[in-house]
Amino acid sequence: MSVELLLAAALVSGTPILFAALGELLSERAGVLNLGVEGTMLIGAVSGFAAANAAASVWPGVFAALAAGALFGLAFAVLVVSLRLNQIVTGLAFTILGTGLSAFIGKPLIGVPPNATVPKLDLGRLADLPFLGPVLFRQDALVYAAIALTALIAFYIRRTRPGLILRALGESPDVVDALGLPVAALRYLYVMAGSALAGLGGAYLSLAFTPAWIENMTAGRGWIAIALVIFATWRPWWVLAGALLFGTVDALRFRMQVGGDPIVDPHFLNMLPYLATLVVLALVSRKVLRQRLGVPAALGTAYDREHR
Amino acid sequence: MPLRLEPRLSDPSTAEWAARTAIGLLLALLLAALVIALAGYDAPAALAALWRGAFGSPRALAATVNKAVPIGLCAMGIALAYRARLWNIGAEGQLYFGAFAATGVGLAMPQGMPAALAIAAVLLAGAMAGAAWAALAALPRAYLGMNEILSTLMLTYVAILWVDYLVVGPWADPLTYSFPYSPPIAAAARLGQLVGGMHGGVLLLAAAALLLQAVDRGLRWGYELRVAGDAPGAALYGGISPVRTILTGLMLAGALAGLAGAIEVSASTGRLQAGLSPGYGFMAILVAWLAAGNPLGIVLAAVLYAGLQNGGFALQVAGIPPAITVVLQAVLLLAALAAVGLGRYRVKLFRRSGVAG
Repeated sequence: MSVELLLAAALVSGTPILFAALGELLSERAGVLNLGVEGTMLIGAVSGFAAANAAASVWPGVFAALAAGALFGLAFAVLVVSLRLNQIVTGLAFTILGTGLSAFIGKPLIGVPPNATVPKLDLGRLADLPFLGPVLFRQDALVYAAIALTALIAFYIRRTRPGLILRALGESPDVVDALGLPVAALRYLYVMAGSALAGLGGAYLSLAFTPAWIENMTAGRGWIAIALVIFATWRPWWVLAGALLFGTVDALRFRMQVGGDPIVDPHFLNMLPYLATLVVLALVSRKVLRQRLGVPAALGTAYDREHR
Repeated sequence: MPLRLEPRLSDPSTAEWAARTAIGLLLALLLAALVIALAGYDAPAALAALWRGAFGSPRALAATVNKAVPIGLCAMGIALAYRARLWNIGAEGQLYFGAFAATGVGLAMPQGMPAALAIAAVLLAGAMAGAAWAALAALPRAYLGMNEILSTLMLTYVAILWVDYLVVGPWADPLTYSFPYSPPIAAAARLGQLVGGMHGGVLLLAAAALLLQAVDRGLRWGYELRVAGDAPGAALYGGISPVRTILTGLMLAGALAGLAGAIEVSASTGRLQAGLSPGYGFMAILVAWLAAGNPLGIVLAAVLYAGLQNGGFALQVAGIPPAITVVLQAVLLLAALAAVGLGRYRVKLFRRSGVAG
């Protein structure tokens, strides 16, 4: 496999992780640690595949995945934002719930051939450019959507007033409350938006990457997305860079399984995202660095006006 | 907002907590029955099959208790670390690393070793390896303040990949080369049956429950753990070393999870294999929270979750997707937590025109 094909494959492998990680970034920036990403992705994958097959068109599937993800996020938000249940335990339970529920409702979909997949965009002459053509300009629409979304979220967080409030939500929600803004409602919003994106990431697997419904098809990508947000120190462009890096690892592993004669055992390649994240975790545990990098200080804590 | 949650002034009593948990569990069962019915299956038949597979015969009950051992051991460790407000999300990884070390010792031991010694060596290796794997998160937590929630989670996947690598790579059994299995460990190192199909690991689970009880009542170290968790400032003032509580709390949790892995190898599979645990370490987190950290509660909750795991096979025979038991694992906990959580508030209705605090 040539370098350009490897990079093209890395972009495709990185896209589902990128969607899910951008979603987790929104949620964590709002102060809510959602460990249910893996389960939410599976819910998105199964509902996206089911809807696309029923409608024989891919876009209803994409919409269904977004909606199912948001609904899953709504249930999570009710428990952790309103009832203030522990975010870590509830998130883990949602991963288990999503795994079980997707397998249960997806039973009849196993082995069903896809009758709609995400189309490749026709970018005309751009696709014929040497090197850049195969890498960048022969991808499907959702790959471009993921990159555009990265830019949008980066701009939103850094340059807009609602983005500033989003940062405050995760940093010191009491300030947001003092401004007279509804902390709980805003956290609902970002948790649901984040879960919708996780659902979309899952649907990318079942509608473009694979495409089919396979039980547990996310295979740990949700956990990688969570790792990626830390790896990127909660910054959208770094999330994109990390998704490409982890996507390359994924593509390399696939190449080795097919090509044989590996230089490094693929198991060790698969450890890389987790090991890299551990290194970043160690770095951000220094308080000075944590403040400079803007790690959300109120991450994982429920907001309670009485206990300020 | 016409509906408002007002915090109550006092925490619910133990009796109220138990009642609310029971109501939550019942609601979860009803919800699961509804999902099964909506999917077009016979819900009462499904629940009956689930019960039969989990607890319906002495044989099923023994199998369930055996599965409750690794879940319960991991949960005891998680609850123990949480006494010091430390999160061990990585019990699954410590379990795998413990299983790895136990297998290593079980494969390397000389022929003709006495069984008692062989079993002790294998179990000890598992517990020590589990503690060592937890130390990888505990040391940076103690000295750098590195977040142990995320580090124990990340380390879990590294440990699982390490075992996956071994069983298809250097430790692949040449006789079963199509399966991701290691060769069987020495026969002397196999933990035998106790009574009625239950294996000896049950005793170790009971010992772990007693240990957790001692942390709450009696042990000075347990007292230190709890003070460090509830009042870190007071602990420091009282001369309790935070480094020591972090290291001992997390590493003992790791040791219990590693022991669970060793027991799985020694008593159940007899070898290292990919997918050794169907997520026992993660179930244990749910179990520890469902039981609110209470030792006896953990044993009961572990038996319940092990029953779900076993009942899944019976469902499959009845033609119902066993994944519904996975749904139940999550819904049981969420419904119970929500029922208890609601108990901390009073629901108040406000008229829209009224001024609400």
